[in-house]
Amino acid sequence: MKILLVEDATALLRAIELKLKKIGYEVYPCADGRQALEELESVTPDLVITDIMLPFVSGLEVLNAAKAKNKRTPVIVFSAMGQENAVEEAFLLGADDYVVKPFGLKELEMRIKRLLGTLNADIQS
Amino acid sequence: MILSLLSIFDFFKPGFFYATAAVFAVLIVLLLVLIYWNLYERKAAFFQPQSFRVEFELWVSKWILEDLQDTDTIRVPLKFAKHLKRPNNRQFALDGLIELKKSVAGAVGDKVVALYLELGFKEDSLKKLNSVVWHQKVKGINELSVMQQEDMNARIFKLTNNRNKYIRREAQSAMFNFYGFKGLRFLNVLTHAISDWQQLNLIEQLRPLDPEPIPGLSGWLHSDNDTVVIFALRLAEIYQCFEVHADVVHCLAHANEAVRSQAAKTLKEIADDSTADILCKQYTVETVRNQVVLLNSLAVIAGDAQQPFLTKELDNENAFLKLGAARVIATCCSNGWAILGAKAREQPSPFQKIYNHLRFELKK
Repeated sequence: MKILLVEDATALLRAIELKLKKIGYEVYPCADGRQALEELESVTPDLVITDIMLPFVSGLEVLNAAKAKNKRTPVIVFSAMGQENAVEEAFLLGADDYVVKPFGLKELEMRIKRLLGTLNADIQS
Repeated sequence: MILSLLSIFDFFKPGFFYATAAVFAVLIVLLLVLIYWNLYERKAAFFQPQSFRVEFELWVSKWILEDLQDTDTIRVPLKFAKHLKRPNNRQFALDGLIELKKSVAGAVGDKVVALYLELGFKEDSLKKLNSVVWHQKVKGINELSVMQQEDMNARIFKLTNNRNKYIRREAQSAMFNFYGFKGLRFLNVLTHAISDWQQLNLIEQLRPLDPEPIPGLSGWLHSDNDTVVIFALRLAEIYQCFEVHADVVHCLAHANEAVRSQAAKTLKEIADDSTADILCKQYTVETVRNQVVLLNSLAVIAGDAQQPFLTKELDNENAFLKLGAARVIATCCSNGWAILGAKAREQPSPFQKIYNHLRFELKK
């Protein structure tokens, strides 16, 4: 399954990318919103994970573009403490879930699996 | 004059002209070589750390995701040791770990701290903490705070009352980051003002914590530092600290108008049966600005018992206070609309307008 991952903190981007690759996902990492929009033109991801605050193009615009391409693509947004308004806006634009920093990578994994519908299979196994 | 004319004349002699041209040509070539060398150095300086940076981030990511036991030691690859001697690379690596620690929690976050210590970055942070340059000091405090180096609390605590507002602010946030509500003990000794911005920052930091009795709150409400009193009043308001009701009432007699105003707002959130009457009594001795605040608080907690006072205030000369009193009557008194209707018939200007305005405002 393809995951478009957008995060400007490169150390975090690499850590999550590695984690998701370990689980078995095909990850498309992007360090800014503009790169993510370009990536969206060539890739149809099964899930998008994006930070809200990004350079050049905001995470909300990435979310918008992902939903415009395929309304059913689930989107998880990262937010920092105190970004409630942005999270609210993200939900209005169709975000499916959000994670507040700092978060646990295991928590993120669970949320991804839930949205991709693979969590139940995991529990049963 | 004659000499300079001669030298101009000499310049047009073929031998002299070629010699000068040759010197200039050599100089130009030298300049080009220097420019090229400089660009080459810059390029190398840019790309070499870039490759180190990518490799370092990958190594960090791999390491923090590995299932290691506590007893396992961190083996830093030798190739990084050389790069990490360069200050720019060290700061890059440290910034990356700081960013990571801010974003991830749990076991992975603990591993980031372990890496911070193993790579000797704590010493870097301490150097910054000891620096006389204020922004270095601030950065040092921030790094130690993010990496949860609580053993540094005594040194950082001393900086919570530093004369430099940026150092003070960072140190206060660090104490709070270490100990939550208990970290606010710096308020006991703070002599400098806490800006509104810093108060908002601290309150923002507080939000994820579970509400609990705040140690020292009652004492801060009697502080000599007015901004400490205001901050304590805000805490009492947000966390609805009913146990300090009497202290907050005491603040209504404070000499500072801003303190009294915040006390009136706080009392709205921790009101008991006596609060509405206390606010009505305070109203008579307040400034117009604070009278508006008091009416806003009364709009939440007043009842029929305050109706005579509020009805009297309908005749206040100030239009804002008139409207404010009418709003409280409409929202809090059981026959509020009837009172306002009667007043509108008795004195159509301005009460008919007030009546219509409130009907529209409160319907929304």
